[in-house]
Amino acid sequence: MNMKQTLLITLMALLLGLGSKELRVLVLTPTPQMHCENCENKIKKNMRFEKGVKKIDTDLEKQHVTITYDPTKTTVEGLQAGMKKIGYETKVVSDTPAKKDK
Amino acid sequence: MEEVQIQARRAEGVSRMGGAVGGINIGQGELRRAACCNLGESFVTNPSVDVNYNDAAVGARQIKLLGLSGEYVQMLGEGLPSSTGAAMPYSLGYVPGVWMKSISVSKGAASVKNGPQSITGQINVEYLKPDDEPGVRVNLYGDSRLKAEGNVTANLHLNQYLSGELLAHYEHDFGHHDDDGDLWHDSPSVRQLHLQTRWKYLKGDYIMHAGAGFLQEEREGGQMLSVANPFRVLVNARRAEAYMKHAYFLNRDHNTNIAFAANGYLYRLDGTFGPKMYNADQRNLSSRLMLEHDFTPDHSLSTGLSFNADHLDETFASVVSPMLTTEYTPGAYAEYTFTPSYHFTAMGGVRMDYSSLYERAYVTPRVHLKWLPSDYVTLRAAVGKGFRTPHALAEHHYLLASGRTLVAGDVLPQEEAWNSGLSATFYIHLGNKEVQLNTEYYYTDFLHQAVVDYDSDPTRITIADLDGSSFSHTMQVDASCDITEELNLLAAFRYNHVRCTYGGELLEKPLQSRFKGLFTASWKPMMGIWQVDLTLALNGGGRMPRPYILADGSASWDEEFPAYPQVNLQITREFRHFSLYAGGENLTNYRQPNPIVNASNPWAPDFEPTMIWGPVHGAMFYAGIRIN
Repeated sequence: MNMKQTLLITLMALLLGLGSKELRVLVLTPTPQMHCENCENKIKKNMRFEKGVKKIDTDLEKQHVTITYDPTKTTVEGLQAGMKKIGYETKVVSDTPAKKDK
Repeated sequence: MEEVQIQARRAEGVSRMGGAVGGINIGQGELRRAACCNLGESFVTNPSVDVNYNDAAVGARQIKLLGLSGEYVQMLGEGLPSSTGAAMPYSLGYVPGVWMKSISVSKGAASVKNGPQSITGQINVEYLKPDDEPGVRVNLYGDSRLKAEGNVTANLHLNQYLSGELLAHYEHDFGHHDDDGDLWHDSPSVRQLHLQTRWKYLKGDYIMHAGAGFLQEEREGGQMLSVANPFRVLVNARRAEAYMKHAYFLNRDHNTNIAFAANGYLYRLDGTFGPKMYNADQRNLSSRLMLEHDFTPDHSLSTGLSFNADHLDETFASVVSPMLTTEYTPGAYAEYTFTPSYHFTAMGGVRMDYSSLYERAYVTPRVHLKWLPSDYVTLRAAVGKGFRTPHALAEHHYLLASGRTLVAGDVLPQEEAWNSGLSATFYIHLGNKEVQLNTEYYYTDFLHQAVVDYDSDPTRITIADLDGSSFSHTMQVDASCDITEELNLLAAFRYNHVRCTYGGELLEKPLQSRFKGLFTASWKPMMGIWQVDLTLALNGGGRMPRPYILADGSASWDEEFPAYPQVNLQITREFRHFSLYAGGENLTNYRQPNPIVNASNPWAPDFEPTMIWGPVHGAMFYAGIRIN
């Protein structure tokens, strides 16, 4: 196998790997409560730097922080620790496999 | 409140004002899409506002709104009037980019609250707030023209009522660039130190804002020192300023509040333009008392008194009499807003001011209507008058760099214009995407104007009162859409039709692009950890002032200038406590050929560095860091 083929196969494996990754969705309720857009932004701004985080949504009305994450890179406890770092204790509402797009 | 809601809905792209006055908000997200060293550079990604160099010697920049010069835009800092007069040509450089929290641009007739001066619109800068989350932020910037800049902003909450901040800015040009090899600085080297402190006190129903600032700037340009007997351009300026605002809520249910605001500055400018000298000493104090009350949620009234004192002392070597202008302007206004439903708002305002300089009173009426026939359409219409006192020489002193004789000594009549505008914004849903389509038309008609005339006499630049008609029609269409959560696109096109009477002849306004096309793409992958911003602009051609025949028989310049493109790109990487950004401006490397006419002989009357219509710099690369 020459270099090119090796690279190509590695690349394809990587792509396939990415496509089939099983993401999970974690819903948390934070304490203290989120009051305004500033609180939402603070959570979004900081949590995006946590390892394995793919997407963050916040819902003021329900007091939900919804984090889509890669379970091979982080854990629920790890994400909760991330929230604690910025001053939020959290309770887990649910932790479910992410629905596949398409 | 409405403005906030609209911003929340559209984080990127164009954010429109929610009230009866049409306009746009530029938030921090938008400001960070380009290097934005100062206010003058914050409109690169904005379709409504153009910023152009006035000349190649002094490097003064000016805003153009609705195809008209910057003096017709009222500049405000947190609702208070900012630099006027001699400071005007440089004032865009006096607001550092990272000090700003947001900018709002209202087009056409604005509210009468802030005075009669706005004719084409109003630009209000909001600074970082003392009561924002406390912290220290540092920004360092450097570019390929060897300009370095540093900013430190810090705020703290002293107790639950009082918060304060310190804003510091220093910039220094180490380079003396001459991209076109004409032995002239492409633009002057600028050294600027600017410090401000801002405080806020909030207890119960009482709010106070107060602060002070100091600025010192040195500009050094002209011919390279290697030239024998160089033509030098030096402008030194110093400004000290202070402001305070007090507001007291009398009844929160009816939003009843009484407010007093005052601000003042001392400004000193010393300029040398080759053989000519110009000095200005300006002292300005503005104050106003306002009372606002909502009778019912449908009917609200804002009313107030104002008093402005402006003192300008100019010395100019070739004018025999010293020029001393003092103007006191007491005024009063009332503005009534009728909001019978969410779908309709009507706002009518009138103010009356008296000028001690002109010894006359003048009335400024303005009306704004907003109608939402459905949730997907917003229509606006506005008509209003504007007045301003021109300081012809102070506001155009950079024209002294020209070899022509500048004729601008007289006190000119007050400038007076009507502005009317119509706009329609459509929120079009295509699948789950929303396209925001905006169309607008503005018409400005001057009754009196301080007209800068290059056309009547090739040996002079005359600034005199308009004799004939002067008007501008502008039409703009822009559309923006979040194609995905990560990608926003904006496309815009504006057509300017600007005419003015020069020496009895109605001509197209010179050095003004006939159109502008703009395309911006903002891509923020990985939850915005990366951000890539691309801006493409095409500036249309236009008319040059009437050329004349030089001694060697050739024409001084072409009759028209061509359309030219501009490409900017910036990449930002966010980290938890800092972000890095790098980018390039004018990546097509387009430069106006021959920006300085007769560059080799600046002491001759046909020397001309003020014929600027395009970029004077080639491609520029920069990088910076923002630390939180």
